Amino acid sequence: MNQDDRALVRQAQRGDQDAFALLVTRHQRYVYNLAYRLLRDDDEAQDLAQEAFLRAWRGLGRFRAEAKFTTWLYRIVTNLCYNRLPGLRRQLSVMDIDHIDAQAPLSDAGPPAVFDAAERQTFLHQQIAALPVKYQLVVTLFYLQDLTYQEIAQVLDLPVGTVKTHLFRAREHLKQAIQEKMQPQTQ
Amino acid sequence: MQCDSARGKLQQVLDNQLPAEEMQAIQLHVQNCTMCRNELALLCQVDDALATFPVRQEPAGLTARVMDHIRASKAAAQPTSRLVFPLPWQDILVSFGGALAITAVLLIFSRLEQGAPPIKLASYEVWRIWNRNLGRLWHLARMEPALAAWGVSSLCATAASMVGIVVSVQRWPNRWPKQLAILTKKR
Repeated sequence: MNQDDRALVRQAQRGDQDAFALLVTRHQRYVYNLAYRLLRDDDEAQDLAQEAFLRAWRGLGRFRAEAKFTTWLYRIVTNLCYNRLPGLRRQLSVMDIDHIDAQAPLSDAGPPAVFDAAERQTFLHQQIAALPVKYQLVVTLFYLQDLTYQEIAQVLDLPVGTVKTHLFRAREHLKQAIQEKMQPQTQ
Repeated sequence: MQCDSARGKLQQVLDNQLPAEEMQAIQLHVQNCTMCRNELALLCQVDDALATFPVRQEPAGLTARVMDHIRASKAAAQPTSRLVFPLPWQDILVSFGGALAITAVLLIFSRLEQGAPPIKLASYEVWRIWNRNLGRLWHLARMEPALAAWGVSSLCATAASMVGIVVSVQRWPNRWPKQLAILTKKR
């Protein structure tokens, strides 16, 4: 938690609503985006973001300064998402073997040469938007919220190894998608 | 370094998660291996796409709506106390039950020092506690005030310790084994 957050949390814990409003303003974009990427519905994401902040306000008294405020806040968001997406928690905990083949043969074709950078970026963004929710969650916490493996593990209450595996598989998923997309062009 | 070994660690290279020596070894391998270099290039593209995935603008007025709810909700007028008290009555009951058991054991062992046989003494204590009325207990306390005072004070001290443990588990759950979470589970 940066110093500003820390000070604002302390003030909010004493009942200062203005300080809490600043915290909401500061973190609302990330909370909303996390909710949106998981729920994929604007109204539901707004609703969840609002509920998350209300819960944060009510639970602020139990928040301890040694933790990072954002880690705690995202944990509230993911818990609310678990309620709305039954099965997500189990999907995250179970290391199922999906169709991703991590040992796909290496290719010596130079990928950047055959795929326009802008086109590739657009294609990958479409693929990211379509990632399974469990990967979406880990990827969003890692890239958008800028959390470390350990912090993500705290938020999701999962072992660090499981977090690494989900992140690895999400990237593999995207890597294979782009490889498949390139294949017809290289042949 | 072999391709298989290097390839499995390319994502960790991107995340800067490897020791410096291993990082250097992989970088050296990548410089001399076209296939691993292409693989790393692909992963870099994926990493770049994930990092630049568009962030949605949060809905206008989200902070205002959250703060309106907070002001409107009388329960949320103030964050909850920093202390977790009052505990649910079940937690207190569990604490006192545990304290009673501990006190009974201590009582038996304290009497052992006086040479009484443990089984006989234990059954005697149980019989005395459960089969006599309060008047008899009061009589016992009057006849053996030191023992009664010791019993009551150790019961209170043990109960206080157990309540302390419960509160501590609630406030700092990460510092306690997960099994203890049962003490604080919502009922």
